[in-house]
Amino acid sequence: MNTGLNLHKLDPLSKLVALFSVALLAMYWDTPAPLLLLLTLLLVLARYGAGIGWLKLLGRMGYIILFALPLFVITAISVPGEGAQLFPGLSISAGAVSYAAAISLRMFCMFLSSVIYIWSTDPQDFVVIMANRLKLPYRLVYGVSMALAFLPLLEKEGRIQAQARKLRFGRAPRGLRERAMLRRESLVAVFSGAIRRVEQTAGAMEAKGFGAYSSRTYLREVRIERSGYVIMLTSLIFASVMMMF
Amino acid sequence: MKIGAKDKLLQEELNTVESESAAEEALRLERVGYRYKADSKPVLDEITFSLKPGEWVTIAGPSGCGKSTLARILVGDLPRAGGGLRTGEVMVNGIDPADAKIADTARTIGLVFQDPDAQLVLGRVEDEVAFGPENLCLPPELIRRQVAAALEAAGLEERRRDSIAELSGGGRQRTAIASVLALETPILVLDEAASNLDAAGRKRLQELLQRLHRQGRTLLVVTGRLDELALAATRLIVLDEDGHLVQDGSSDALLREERPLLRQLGLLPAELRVRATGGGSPNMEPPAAPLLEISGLTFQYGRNAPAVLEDVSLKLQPGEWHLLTGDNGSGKTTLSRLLLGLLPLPPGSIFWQGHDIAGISLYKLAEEIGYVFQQPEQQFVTANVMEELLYEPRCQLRLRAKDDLPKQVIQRAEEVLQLLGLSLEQDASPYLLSGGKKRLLSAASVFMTGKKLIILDEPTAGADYLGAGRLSALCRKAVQEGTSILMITHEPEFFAGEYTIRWHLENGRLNRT
Amino acid sequence: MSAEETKKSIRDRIRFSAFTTAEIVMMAMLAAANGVLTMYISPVNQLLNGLGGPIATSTITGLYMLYGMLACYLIRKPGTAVITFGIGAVVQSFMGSAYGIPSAFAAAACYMVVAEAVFAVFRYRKWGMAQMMLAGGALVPIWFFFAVRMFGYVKWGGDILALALVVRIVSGIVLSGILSKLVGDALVKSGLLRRFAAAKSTLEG
Ligand SMILES: Nc1ncnc2c1ncn2[C@@H]1O[C@H](COP(=O)(O)OP(=O)(O)OP(=O)(O)O)[C@@H](O)[C@H]1O
Ligand SMILES: Nc1ncnc2c1ncn2[C@@H]1O[C@H](COP(=O)(O)OP(=O)(O)OP(=O)(O)O)[C@@H](O)[C@H]1O
Ligand SMILES: [Mg+2]
Ligand SMILES: [Mg+2]
Repeated sequence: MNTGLNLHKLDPLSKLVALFSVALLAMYWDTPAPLLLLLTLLLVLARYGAGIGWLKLLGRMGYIILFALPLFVITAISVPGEGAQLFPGLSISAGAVSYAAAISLRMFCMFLSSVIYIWSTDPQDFVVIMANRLKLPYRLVYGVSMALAFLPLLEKEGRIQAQARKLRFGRAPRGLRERAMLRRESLVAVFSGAIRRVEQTAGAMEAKGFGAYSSRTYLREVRIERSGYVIMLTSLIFASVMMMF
Repeated sequence: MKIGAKDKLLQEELNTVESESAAEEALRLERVGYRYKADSKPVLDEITFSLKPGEWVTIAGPSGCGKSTLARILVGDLPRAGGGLRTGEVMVNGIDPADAKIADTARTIGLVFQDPDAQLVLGRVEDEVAFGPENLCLPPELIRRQVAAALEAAGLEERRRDSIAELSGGGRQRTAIASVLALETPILVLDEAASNLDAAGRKRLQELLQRLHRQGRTLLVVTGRLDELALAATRLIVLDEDGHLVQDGSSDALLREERPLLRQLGLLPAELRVRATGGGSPNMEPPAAPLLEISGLTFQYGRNAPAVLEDVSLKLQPGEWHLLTGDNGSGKTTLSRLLLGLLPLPPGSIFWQGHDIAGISLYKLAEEIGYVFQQPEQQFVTANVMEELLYEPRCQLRLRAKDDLPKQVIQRAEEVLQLLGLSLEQDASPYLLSGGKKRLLSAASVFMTGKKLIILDEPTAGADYLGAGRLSALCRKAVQEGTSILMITHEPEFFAGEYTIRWHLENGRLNRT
Repeated sequence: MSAEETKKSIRDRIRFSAFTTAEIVMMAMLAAANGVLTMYISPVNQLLNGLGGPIATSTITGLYMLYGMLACYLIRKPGTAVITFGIGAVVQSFMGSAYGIPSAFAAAACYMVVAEAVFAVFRYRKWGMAQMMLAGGALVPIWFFFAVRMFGYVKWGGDILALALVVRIVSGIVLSGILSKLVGDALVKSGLLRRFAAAKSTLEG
């Protein structure tokens, strides 16, 4: 994709600023038309800027419909009518539908822009730039790295614990009570296992010099290039201009 | 450049730390004792020894004697983390790790902890290995070099971009080793760091230690058994069960003169037994369908991942004892998990007593198959060693935790504890046992009810010869009673005296050897 | 201790370097646990959303704040809420929340401000059930105010909004206030946390 804009190459901070600008705009508008335009723009960006395949995009959009559709229906029903009644008997007005559509589109925009961000950003780069550029204390920022590393481990641990319980239990549980007990016990086991690991992990980290100095160096280099500053500025200016008119 | 100047300063500082200390002792312990709680019995008692810079020493002792405790004292993790009580004097390159600054300790001494999972904190192999040098503010080019060297030494170059959650047990252990190697500390301590490594990995580690030794680094290898790797060291320090230092001298001399003691402590294998007779002979009367049959199993994690197993076939009859070997990451754990349907399984490839496993629920299988995980903590279900053994009989008899168990069950549990040498710890929490004992306990707990098949994933990793012998006795007894055993191991030589059928997994293919 | 001294001691404790590595790992672990929890209750959330709309989903809002409250309860230092909710927000962002990254950050920002304020009122010294319930309930309203605007609930009508708010506050009190204290006490009793403030204070008093 040589469209001139490769989002993967952009630093996480500039992208974050752009993301928040999009969010501000999406929240500012409450009519469908501009939001639809924004969504189209985001779709194009997702496909050609971040390189997400159409199929994948469709899947993600399908997921968010599960949330957006109920929101649409409920908003359409509960918003007091302005304008013509669409269905006689049901108090759904054209105004309400338009507002509901805007709200749902807003949700799409927020979600899609986030998908683009996640897709094109390595979390570790995010951590590095937070510590390096924003000068946040690295020990705290590393909490994010750890949490992201724990995530798949915890999930795996949860799966394995549940399996281990079943295996050790050695027979089919009878009734809801036994089932609930098994479920609860494996949840407790995963959680206390995680807590137990905290001290060991902290010890191992300090043994490797975590917290030795107030700063540290980084093997990966994450720099904000000129294009990053351009993106930041453009998105901010664009958002403010749009909101002024 | 400003940053470059700062790095140079740090580098110089590091160099002076090294050169200053070169003259003194690298390590000195004076009457060191440790207890985990103020009112408990000491784990280590009056340990005194010192190491000259550049020495290569093995510290050996039976399981639970306090080796890991000692290693953690050396890096200051204890008493900082545990809240226990240390007595005596510890000097590491002239600093006391208990109250030294983090930077000073991390630059002086590196420890590969016994449990690989507890020391990996970042998602990816390369990030993990770079973690230490980054903390010490080394300049990026230097970090890059040290990381590359450490990855190479651990045989992980090809996996540098992989997620740690997707590595095999041995792969995680290699990552743990590499992450400490990258620190390039003058003193290096390895706590059972080879326990999950394959034969090639061990050899490689031994060569690496030889190289580091030649470079003048001080090496301390902590182990429960005197195998080739342990005996490569020139000096040997031996602890006994109660945490006393009982021998300290050249490895060769001790091996010559103190063989009986070393054997008694379980640090050397017992005399080779004659082949066990009775029971276990595989071809008594072949039943209609084998107990377990794998036919043409192919498996891959994810659609685009390479196949881990390819066209694997195996038959297992009642009362047979199978050993499965293979390099790290060859797919042994994967295969064993597939046997219970713990991973998505292609139908028509694994049969339990003639029925496709894909259609049997895990509960149903668990009635007849016992499984021991590669990480023992994963399968503990109670807060007490004795209860851990009683859990399965209790569930099988449909008893609640408060109900009394039949006498013979309790008696059997006590026998097993006796056999494993865990009687003294029967009221302790399984999680607070030493590494080797955890593993023994986790393995023993599946022998409490009559299963038809027991699958064990590296049950002897990190165990001493005594523990391995005890486990082997447990298995032998089960086999004689008609149970089948499928054991994954890197140390088939432990079971040399038994009637076993051996398999080797290589490049996804399973071959009988 | 005079008011002057108390003020000074609080100021001293507000430095972020005051966190030990174990505390940081604990916060990270809780944030990760929250991530996993969110993943597992996401279908529940969807189900509730489909069945009973926003009122029904409001019943479980407390669970989303549990991790931060638990961290505060265990660590008891100024800044705990800021860091824990901060880490939690980034984790949720990278896991992909249905409401988007900006709302994850906004919610976390609301929670951290309120939690720190409530605990600061008690000088980070009182950690009884009452305080935890108060904090749990207090976390809800500000974020609700913003969420109402973001997701267009504004036009539903006052009574529905009020009902939703009440349900959320109750959920906050029960599922984040009371529950965090119960879980925290259970952890302390299990002896896993010897080095954390929660364990030390129960040992002392
Ligand atoms: N956190 C802990 N709290 C209380 N007791 C502990 C703790 N960790 C270990 N112990 C006890 O201290 C003793 C020594 O344990 P340690 O782990 O040092 O043994 P080890 O020599 O390394 O054994 P192995 O070869 O099996 O790893 C054991 O009896 C163990 O039960
Ligand atoms: N969840 C997973 N996702 C993707 N790949 C995985 C996953 N688990 C294991 N693998 C990969 O599958 C291969 C086989 O792993 P497995 O754990 O079966 O090895 P093993 O033979 O048990 O090795 P070891 O002796 O080190 O325990 C490895 O290359 C590993 O990286
Ligand atoms: Mg040990
Ligand atoms: Mg394995």
